[in-house]
Amino acid sequence: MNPTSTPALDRLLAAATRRLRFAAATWALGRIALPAALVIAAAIIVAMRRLGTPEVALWLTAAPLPIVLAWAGLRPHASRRVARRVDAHFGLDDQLGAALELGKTPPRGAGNDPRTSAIVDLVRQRGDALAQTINVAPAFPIRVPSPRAFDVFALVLVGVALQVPSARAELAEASLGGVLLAPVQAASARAGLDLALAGPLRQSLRELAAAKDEPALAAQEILEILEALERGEIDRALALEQLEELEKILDEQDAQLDAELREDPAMLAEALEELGAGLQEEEVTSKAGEALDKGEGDKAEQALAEAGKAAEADANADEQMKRALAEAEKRLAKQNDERESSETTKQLEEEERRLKKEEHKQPETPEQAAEQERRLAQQRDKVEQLKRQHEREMAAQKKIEELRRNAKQAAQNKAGSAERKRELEKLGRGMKEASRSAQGSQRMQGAQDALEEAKTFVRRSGQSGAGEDKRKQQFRKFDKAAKGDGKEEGKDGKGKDGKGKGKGSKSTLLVEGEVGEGDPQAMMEGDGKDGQGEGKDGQGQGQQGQGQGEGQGEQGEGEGQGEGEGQGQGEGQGQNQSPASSGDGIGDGSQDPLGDPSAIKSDANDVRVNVKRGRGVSKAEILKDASQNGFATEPYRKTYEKYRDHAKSALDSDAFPAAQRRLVKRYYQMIQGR
Amino acid sequence: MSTAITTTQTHQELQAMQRDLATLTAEVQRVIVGQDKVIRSVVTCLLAGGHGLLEGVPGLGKTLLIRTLARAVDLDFARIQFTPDLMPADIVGTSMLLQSEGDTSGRPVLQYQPGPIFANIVLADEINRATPKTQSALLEAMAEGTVTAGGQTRPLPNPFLVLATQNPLEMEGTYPLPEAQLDRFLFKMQVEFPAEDELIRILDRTTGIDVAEVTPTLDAHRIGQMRELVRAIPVTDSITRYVVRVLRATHPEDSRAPDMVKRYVRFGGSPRGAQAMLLGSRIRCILDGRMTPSIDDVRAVASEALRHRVILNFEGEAEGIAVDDCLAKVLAAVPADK
Repeated sequence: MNPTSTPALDRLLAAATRRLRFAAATWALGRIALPAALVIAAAIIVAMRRLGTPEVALWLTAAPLPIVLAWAGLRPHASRRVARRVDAHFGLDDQLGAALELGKTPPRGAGNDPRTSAIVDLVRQRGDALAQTINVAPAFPIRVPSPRAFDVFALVLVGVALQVPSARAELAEASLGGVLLAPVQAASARAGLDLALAGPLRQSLRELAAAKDEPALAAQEILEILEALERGEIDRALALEQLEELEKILDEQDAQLDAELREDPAMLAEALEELGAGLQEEEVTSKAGEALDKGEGDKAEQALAEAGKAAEADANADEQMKRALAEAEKRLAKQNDERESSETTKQLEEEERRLKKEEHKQPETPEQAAEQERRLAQQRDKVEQLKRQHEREMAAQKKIEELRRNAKQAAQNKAGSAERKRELEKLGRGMKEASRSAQGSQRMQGAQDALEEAKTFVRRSGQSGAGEDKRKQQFRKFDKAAKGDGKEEGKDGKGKDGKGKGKGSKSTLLVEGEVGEGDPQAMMEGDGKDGQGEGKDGQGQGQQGQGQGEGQGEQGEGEGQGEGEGQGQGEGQGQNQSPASSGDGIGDGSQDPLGDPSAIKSDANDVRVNVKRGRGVSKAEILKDASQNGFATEPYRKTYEKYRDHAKSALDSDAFPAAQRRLVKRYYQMIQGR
Repeated sequence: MSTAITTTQTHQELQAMQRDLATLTAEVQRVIVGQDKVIRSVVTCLLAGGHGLLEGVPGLGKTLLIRTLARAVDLDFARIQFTPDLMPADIVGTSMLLQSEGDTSGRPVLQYQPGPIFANIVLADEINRATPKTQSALLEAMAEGTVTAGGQTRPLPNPFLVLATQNPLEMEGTYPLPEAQLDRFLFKMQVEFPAEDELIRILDRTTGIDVAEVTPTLDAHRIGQMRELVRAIPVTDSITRYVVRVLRATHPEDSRAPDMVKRYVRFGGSPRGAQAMLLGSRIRCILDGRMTPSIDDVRAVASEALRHRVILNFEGEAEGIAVDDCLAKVLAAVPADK
């Protein structure tokens, strides 16, 4: 049996198969690939927005396309089945299929009847002839599937996915909504950093950085660290680390400065203030006085020289100058006279007695011996410090005396004389040197305070979530302080009547006024104890302490008004320079009014403050009542306003220095309700 | 060259056969209105050499159809009216004492008198009214084309075709044909009630003056040729396999059998059923002018070939399940492709 060839039929079936694949591909693309791609796209969009999946993953959306095409292209299609479909479509009663099949497989049960073979040939010829007339396209229509519920669902899925908020956007929004415009990675670490609160600090730092000395460099460094933190270039931990490193450097520089210091800067500053006040009495020297008051020694020297020239030209000016110099001389002399009996000298004598007493003690046990050794070392250090301080005070007194003498001689000499000029030059130079000496120490202290404040801000920047706890701690501290619990109060060596000088640490308290009559020492006695450094914060060991205080009061009766300013860290050794005065002190212990609990150690001595009792009504009572009643009974806002008003009234005082004024304002900014 | 001649000749033969069958059908249809399917099935039985069982209510022209066909093919025709008292000898014939003219002694001679079965086309009218014993008289004739009587087996004329009728309504006093008897029928044809326009035409033909005359178109020889050509029709492997799968699916134990078959059928079709389907599909494709049967041909003849061979179980009988429904399920369940 030699079957007839059927080329047309073969072509038809090949065309039909291609058409079938194309139709299948079209169907599968619409029915499978498209909804699958939509579902995948939805999943990827969600993953991109929530999990940060890269955008390149969107290419996965196209994955169903090659799969479907491969399926349509490689799926086997039996030609017999294809032929049967063509037959069925055109109503050919399987003639094409039979022709195809009979060409491949001999008919069953045909035997050797030649007619069977003949009929097979006829069947194949007939099939081939039919194939030539057939267009397979209608048999395999290419239809795009109509949408189903699942397709709509997939589309909705994509829509929903597009509405999913982006985690990145949320983070960015969170950053933008906050104070910082920091990168996303560090957003959580810096959340809550309130740069508005850091504004005064930055202003202080800029002022410090304006000069060209080591504190200026330190201030510049602190500014850069804060700005880097703000920009998100560093995180909070790194910022703290850098600040601590800077603190170490500043400590070393401070120690070096302290070792090189010959005159006591506080005394020099006070003397310059007096000198400046005296010069400001007259118009011709007022510029020099103002410059001195501002701590600008160079300008003061220049202004004094100009005043000398003016005095040469004008007799009236000469008179003014003479009066101003005489007044300055008088004030300087008065100051030196007041300092003759120095508190430092007394303290030194007292400490030396203690040291000798301690040295004579005989320990009974090794433990006692070790303890004694420790106390002795401590005591020796204290004595050494006091000796240094005493020497500086003596040097300062000498310097002041020199200034006084220069002023006196300049006032006595004739205008235009060489002696007058020489004395004025000496005075100007002495003013400049004294100012530089006083300013150097103050600037270093300012840099250290700014650094401490910067650390506080950086630390608090990560504690916004625990604000309430922090707030409660602040309340507790403030409550204790307001009750007069001296452990905080005395750190600054403050509140000792009037002028106190000491090395206190962190806390700054606002205590104003004396209370009525009674024991003249009633108010400050407790403080004095703390002034010894019993307070925890007192341990700063006084890298540098300065206290300024003024007290005015009349012996024996009331109306004591005293102001004291103290700056310092550490032991809070206050020096009472004005034992006869009464009143209270306002101290500025550090940049952080609340103190740092981690640094509360002290080995300072008890100091009894000799204050004079006054009869003045004190606002401290109000504070005391409020604190004793407890803050919980009143809304925080009201309590805060009450305290703030009180602080404002204190700030209105002219005697309150600008730096301290700013500190108090910043403190109230920090504790205000939000 | 010889192949080409053979192909041409075969083609001509096929065309001639198609023409003759068309003529035969047309001749029958001159008398019989409608019932085209039954006519085709009867012609199929004639060409396949099988017997046919026509089932229908009285008055649908079953007997007339068979008589017309017999006249159209110019073959001997005998009609046997089956009744309960009909005896086998009444069908196959009997030996009788006859005064033989040739016998000089003048004594009567026992001579076999053939029954009505000795005809080319035998109409067994209302076959289910005869007793099983009488019905069984047809078994040998239908299966082997011979009759054994008086110890002598006599061949029946060729072609031999039994076309039986039965009434499905009157069950009382009837004797259902045994399975063995039924299996010997190639097709069992359901004669449907005519449609409205067919009835009108029937009335026109039967109540008017004109009476249609039937002219014989085929003779026994020509029918023999056709029967040979039918068996030379090639059948593809896929068709044969399909026939087998359909037959097997009528058996409840077959894996392809639909649930209906599994539930209601006791026995499926016999191999004679597959033969009937294959032969019937061959003839059907010729009747339709084609040269090889298709799946549709098999499906078209499957019911007539199998409906009397599939035996329902008690549940199927009790619930009145129609065998044709089961077969429809089978055809739907069996796939066409391999």
